[in-house]
Amino acid sequence: MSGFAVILQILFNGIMLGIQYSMIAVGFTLFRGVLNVLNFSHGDVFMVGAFISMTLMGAFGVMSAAGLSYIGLIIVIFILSMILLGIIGVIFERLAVKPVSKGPVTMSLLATLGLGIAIREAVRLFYPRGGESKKFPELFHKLFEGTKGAFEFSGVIFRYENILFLIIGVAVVLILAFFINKTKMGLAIRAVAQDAECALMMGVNKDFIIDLTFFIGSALAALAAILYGLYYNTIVFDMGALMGVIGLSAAVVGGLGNIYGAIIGGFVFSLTEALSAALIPRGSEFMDVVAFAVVILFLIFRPSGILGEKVFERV
Amino acid sequence: MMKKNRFFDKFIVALVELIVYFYIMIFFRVESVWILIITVILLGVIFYLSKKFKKTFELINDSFTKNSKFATFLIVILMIAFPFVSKLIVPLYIYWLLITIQTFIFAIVALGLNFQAGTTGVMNLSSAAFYGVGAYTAGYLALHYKLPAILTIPLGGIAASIFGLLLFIPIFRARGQYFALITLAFGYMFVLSLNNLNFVGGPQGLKNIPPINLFGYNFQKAPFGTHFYVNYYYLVLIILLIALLIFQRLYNSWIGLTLNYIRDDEPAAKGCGVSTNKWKLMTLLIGNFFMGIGGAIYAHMIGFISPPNFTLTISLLIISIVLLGGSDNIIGVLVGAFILVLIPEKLRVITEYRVMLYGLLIVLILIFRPKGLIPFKERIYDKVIAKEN
Repeated sequence: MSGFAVILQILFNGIMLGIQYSMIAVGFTLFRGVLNVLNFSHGDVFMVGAFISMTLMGAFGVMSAAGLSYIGLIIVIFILSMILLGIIGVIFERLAVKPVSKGPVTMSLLATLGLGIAIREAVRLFYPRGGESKKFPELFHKLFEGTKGAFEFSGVIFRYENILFLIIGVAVVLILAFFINKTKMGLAIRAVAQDAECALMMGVNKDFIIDLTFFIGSALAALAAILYGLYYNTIVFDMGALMGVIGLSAAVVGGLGNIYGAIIGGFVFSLTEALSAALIPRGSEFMDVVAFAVVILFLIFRPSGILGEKVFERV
Repeated sequence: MMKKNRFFDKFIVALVELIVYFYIMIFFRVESVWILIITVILLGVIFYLSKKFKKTFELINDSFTKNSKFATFLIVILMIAFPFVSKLIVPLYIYWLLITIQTFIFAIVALGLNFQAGTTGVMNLSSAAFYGVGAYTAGYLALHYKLPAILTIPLGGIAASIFGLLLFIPIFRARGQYFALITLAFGYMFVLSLNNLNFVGGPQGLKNIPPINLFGYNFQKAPFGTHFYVNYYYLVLIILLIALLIFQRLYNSWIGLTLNYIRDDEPAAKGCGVSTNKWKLMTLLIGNFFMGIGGAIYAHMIGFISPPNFTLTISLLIISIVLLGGSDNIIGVLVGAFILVLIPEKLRVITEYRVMLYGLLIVLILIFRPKGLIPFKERIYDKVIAKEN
């Protein structure tokens, strides 16, 4: 392979991962905005999303018997898993995240870590044979049945499926940006994030906005989970732990509280991983170690993140 | 209130301690889960009675505070007698001895974390990693360089401190949540690296770590017709007592007060001329040292260590020990270790659910009792003022 092809391949791999990381990171940033928490259970909510969509796809036959077309099935699975996981996210927020959000941030970090472990173990114990790694079914394969399924560009093979992921990812980011910046609901979310008490005085229903934010964040996690499952083809009950740390690190690197920052952070993390996998000997084993080292460097030298504002210690 | 003589006080102290001691023996002896339910009911009854007969309980409490030296002395004697008494009462005493040793090891590690997170308020979420550094250092040195345990155990502690130094000095700029996040990332990096580094055995870990041999005394030999775990029991007990002594002394000294000040209001402490970074670093080093020592003993005793022993789950177990007992409370840490390490062994039925329960427990404690079972007391320096209040 030529040098250009190698770089292209690295970039493409990095971007594929980056989409997933960004969607998780956006959740962390949103939650941090409306509630003063680093919600660590988000990674495990993401994992639950993967299991939900897998279960839904298991019911493929039932749904197609109900007269849904193939495209309809795909859409139903995407929307249903997003809604279900959104509701689950709101339930966890009501039960455990909001009650601890009044204490210091480190305490809420700890509480949500505990919640995450509880969720993970619950899936392992109560999902049928939940301790094993599961094969994630294919979803888009029929869409490209007639074609080769991929095209080649200067020595690098791009699968149509992955291009589709890319389009979905970009579309979701655009929709989210539109929602946050241009709609009234988005304005309310931003208002609560900026000054919750003031927003309350202006007639914003704070509790509803918090629920809505958790719904959106968790729905995005469901989307990320489907993409993850389709990309790797296997899911495990403990994949959320690492994903949670990665998502939070990405959000922090980008600057907590800033949606674009979270997206940039996700890509920084994934590109670091892809680069270290390609350039360092035995890099694929150590790529997460390198990426975390980069995160630590970021936290040391720029704790407010790439796009974050400088925060002063209030006395 | 009537005037009590000292002998009566001591009698009460001894009575209460002996009742608790032999109750624990019975707790070990009875195989069924019912003993646990009975215990919970008993504790509830005691709690209820303490509300109903406040005077009597105050009397008992009083005699404990007056005779604290005698009480401690008696506890130590009872602990030393533990292997032999339990041999008489408990048929499965070897098993329970092992569990008790593990409880003590976790208590040592949790004391280290309590000093960091409880007293100084630096949230170190990678305690299991430092525990692992100690275990791997001791195991590696004993395996490949044939160093004796008298060296490997302190070196395990020192290695944990050095790793802490390397990690913590650069990250002092990060505060609160970011600090916690970095330590969390470090915990992951540690386990990921262990899994991929060949010289420490990768996922297989280190096997056949030689047992402790102190001054020619082989710890594999069973003393007085008991079991060789008794040796480890005394070693761990001694180290636990030393750790308790050190941390109690530190807590009661002006150092402890300084550290509490840093925890409660760092900018104010800085403003008063406390060099917060220096003190925080000292806390982290001392805490890490004890975590490392705990790991080193564990490695020698079990003889086999692998990456799953040092994951985030173990960190969370250690944190929940500190939180459950009540952070910044040394007695609380012991109670927490007892509840979280020892009692689950009784619940063999729920071994599968144990990790999930740890997670839920952390959430529940932080929601309903954020100060732990035994909340720390305000420091009282002037006894006259204390009486007036």
